[in-house]
Amino acid sequence: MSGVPPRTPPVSSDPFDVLVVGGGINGAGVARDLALRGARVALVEKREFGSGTSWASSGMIHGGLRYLQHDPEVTLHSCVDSGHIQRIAPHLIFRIPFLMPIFPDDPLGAEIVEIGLEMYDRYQPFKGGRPHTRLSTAQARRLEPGLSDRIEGAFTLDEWGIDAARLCAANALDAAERGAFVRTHTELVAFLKDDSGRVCGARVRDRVTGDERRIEARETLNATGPWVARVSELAGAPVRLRPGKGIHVVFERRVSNLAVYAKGIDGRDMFTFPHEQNSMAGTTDDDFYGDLDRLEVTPDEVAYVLQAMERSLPGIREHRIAHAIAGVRPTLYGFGSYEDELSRDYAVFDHGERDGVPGFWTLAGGKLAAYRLMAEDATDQLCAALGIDASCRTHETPLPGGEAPVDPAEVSRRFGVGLPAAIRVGFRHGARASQVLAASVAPPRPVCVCEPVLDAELRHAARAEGLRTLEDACLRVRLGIGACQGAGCGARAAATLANTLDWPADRVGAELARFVDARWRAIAPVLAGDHIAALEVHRAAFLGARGFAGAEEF
Amino acid sequence: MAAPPRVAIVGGGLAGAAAALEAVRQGAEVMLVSAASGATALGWGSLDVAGAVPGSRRLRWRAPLREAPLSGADRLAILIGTFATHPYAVLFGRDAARGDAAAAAEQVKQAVEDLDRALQPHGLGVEGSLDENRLLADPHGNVRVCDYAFTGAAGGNLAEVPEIAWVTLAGLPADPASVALGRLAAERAALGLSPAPARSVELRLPEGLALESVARLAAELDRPDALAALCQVAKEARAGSSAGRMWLFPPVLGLESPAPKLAALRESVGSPVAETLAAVPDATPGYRLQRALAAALDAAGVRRYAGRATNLAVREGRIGALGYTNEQGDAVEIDADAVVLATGRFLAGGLREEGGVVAESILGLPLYDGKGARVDGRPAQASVRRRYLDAHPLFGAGVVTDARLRPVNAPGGPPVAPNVFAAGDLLTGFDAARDRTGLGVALMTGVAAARNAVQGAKRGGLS
Repeated sequence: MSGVPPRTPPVSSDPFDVLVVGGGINGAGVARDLALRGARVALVEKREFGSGTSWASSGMIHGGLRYLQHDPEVTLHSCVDSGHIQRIAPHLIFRIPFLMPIFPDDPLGAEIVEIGLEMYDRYQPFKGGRPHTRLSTAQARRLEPGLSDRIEGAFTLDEWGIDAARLCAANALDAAERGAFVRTHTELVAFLKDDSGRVCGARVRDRVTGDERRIEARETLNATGPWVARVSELAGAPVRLRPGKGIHVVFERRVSNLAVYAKGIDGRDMFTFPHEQNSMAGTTDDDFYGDLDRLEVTPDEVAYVLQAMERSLPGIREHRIAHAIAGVRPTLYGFGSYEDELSRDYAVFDHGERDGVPGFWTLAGGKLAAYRLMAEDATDQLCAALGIDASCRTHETPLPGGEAPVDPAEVSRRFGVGLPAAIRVGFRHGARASQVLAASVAPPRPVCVCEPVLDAELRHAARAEGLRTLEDACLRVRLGIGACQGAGCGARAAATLANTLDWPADRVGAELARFVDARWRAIAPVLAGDHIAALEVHRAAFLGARGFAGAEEF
Repeated sequence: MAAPPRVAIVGGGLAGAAAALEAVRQGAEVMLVSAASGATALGWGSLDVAGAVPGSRRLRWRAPLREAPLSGADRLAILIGTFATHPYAVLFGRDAARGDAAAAAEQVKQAVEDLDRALQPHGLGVEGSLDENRLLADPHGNVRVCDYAFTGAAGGNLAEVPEIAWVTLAGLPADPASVALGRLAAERAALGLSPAPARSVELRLPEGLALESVARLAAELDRPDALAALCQVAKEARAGSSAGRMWLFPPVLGLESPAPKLAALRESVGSPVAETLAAVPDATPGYRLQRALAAALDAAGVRRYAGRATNLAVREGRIGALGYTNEQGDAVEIDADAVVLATGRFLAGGLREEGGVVAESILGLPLYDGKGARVDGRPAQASVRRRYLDAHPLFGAGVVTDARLRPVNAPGGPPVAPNVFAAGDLLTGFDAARDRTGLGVALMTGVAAARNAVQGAKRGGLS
């Protein structure tokens, strides 16, 4: 990934074709598409790639069985695009078979549910999924022994999971490799407008160095997810959303073999699903009126999710929850519907046409599963405005690492790392696994053992992928988000980054302080039972590792 | 002749062990029930009595060194003056904040001496002084200001070391040496110490030794052949080393006594040798302390029982027995004239959250935070704050006692029982992770609770 400069890169004095604000899946997806079509792109993200809604999603590129009822278009788009994403990032994908238990008191009844599943089966070929099956109670409990003994059979259906944060990073990094200026921790200060009132870029501030700079661009795209309303306001072109908050609880390990459907007390569908090294359960969907920059998971939300899960998996509370994640859906505005019934569709606004603010665009709404399609649509419109005549290739051009299959056994032998660690690097970096591991001088060693995060991956992220802070490593390399929540790996990872990025000694303490505060925000809402004892160890580890230099921060 | 008083102790960490050893010294017959290891086994190698208190303006960590050095009595006085409900304030009285701190310091010195005497035969000594800070490095290159330390890290006092050889072991997970040494240099500067030359020495152990973690390697180095291999590679690496240089090893020198390892390495490299403190959760010094305490208890004739205490039983109108569930799951009762609860906090099981509310595990005693707010009977989440580094009531909560360390139902009220005492982390008023007085509190309250228990039992026997 030699195209990504690790240090402050010069910003070309020529105006960019497009400035994309927001490094979630929408912004990163558009930046990549634009770069593939030869446009000069700048992408700025105020925190870490995917750190908003993308990271808080269920991490699935599913078709959306749920949307069949209200929004069959969204189901179709999601399924078709899921198929494309599987082709361009085969390494990042994993199958998640779902199990939908049938209870005697379910309002719909098995026959009606099966009609829905039969309809959904017709979409499965688009995304390489298998048709549903109907299981007896005994069969279902053999597959998933923890299921309630009240069930009367079950259905299976097929979906796909993905590491959403990695997907965002892969899109952004590919854009960078194709010449885009890409920078995290760079926040919007104000839009630039020329004398005619046309938006011509933005003033941005580097949140790590404090430096401000101007980025001039012919077109500017607001792709800030739930923040689009606030950002479009800054440009004088208001966009309304109906933001919906959703949470997931994340178990310290996998707690079921399959994803299992569950019904909330209000009848909403939720599920517990294995995802990478963990299981997740969720999600909620509630109208959100609060501060997007201070999202908190409330004990009520956790209780609501667990109450639902308990009906399908009665033993669920015996498993330890490692942390919880909150996010806000950038749902398009609509009045008079329940949250669940709102469209998951997206919209591209040309504010020149819509509000008389030329040069400014907004991409709003959407689903992770159909991000590529949305990006294509937005890019088509931007290219038309720019006079760029190139067609979309994002459905066929592999993302970084998706070029060829990887053989973990070979990687394991060649670099002297354990097979689980090699498989993990192969999953995350695909064909580039060797490149990642070669970044290490000594044989790669795990910095974390909750899942084998190798120091080489961390070094590679810092050196070649523009990783800037320890806190970001939670998303970028999944550091400190397992059972130990950083107690075992935080200080060591900070030292590894300090070594790679030449941080001064006092920076380490400040980085650890921010890292541990972020972990605490994720842990506190689920702090209960034996978890409190683990937190005593966590505190001994972190408070013990404080030094004098930089003690003001920590 | 009257039969010796019978004292039952719940908890085998430093608080329980110190209480048991003191009760034996006072002539009691002592039974100790322990279920699981707790905070003591997580120790990083120092025994901080008068700690260093972040958040206290008067006792900023760097203050004792940058400004006039403070004696142990001074720091005890500041601690007591700053934290009104700290166990030291209960133990020594708040007057100690004004003038009587010298007497408190004397008690501390006596208790540490007694502990050292009990542990020495089992390969672990306590070194240091309450009157002079010992500056010890951790594996990240941070410097901790300590009073006392156990054999292993105790010898690595940076205040006295002219030059450091920072040892890393190839393959053992650790910070890059350049980062740790950079940090150490910054720490020395922040403390106002003169810069000292430091260089790193990487040792490559022969194949076949477990290097996955500090604890795994420490277990290996208890074997003579593994130790010999380490000495050999150290000897080969010493070329050009000046004799005055201190070799600082990570805390891998055995899960049993580190003393013979230190001696063998000193012989090999021809220079002083010490370990750094440990970084939790790689707490080898905690394992060692826990092992040495168990050996000391056995040597002192304390009868140890494995099991989880469940209840106190009434005999003739007063608490007369301790009930526990043994490892076979049977309920057992031990007759006792006094009981000391040294059950720790959440880690050891003294406190727990069950049914969605926080409670004291054995008696359901009320729990208060350091400011007097109730913590029990509510969800844990109700007692935590927004930021990690805040003072969370949950992690400073425990039982409130009278001046004789007997738990009370409400501050200032009468004890729940005349012959039940509490010691260590179970007490309220301090947050060991923040103020680092955990082992000091365990030692001092353990000793005091045992004295009070034996005295009370003798008096009770006479009446």
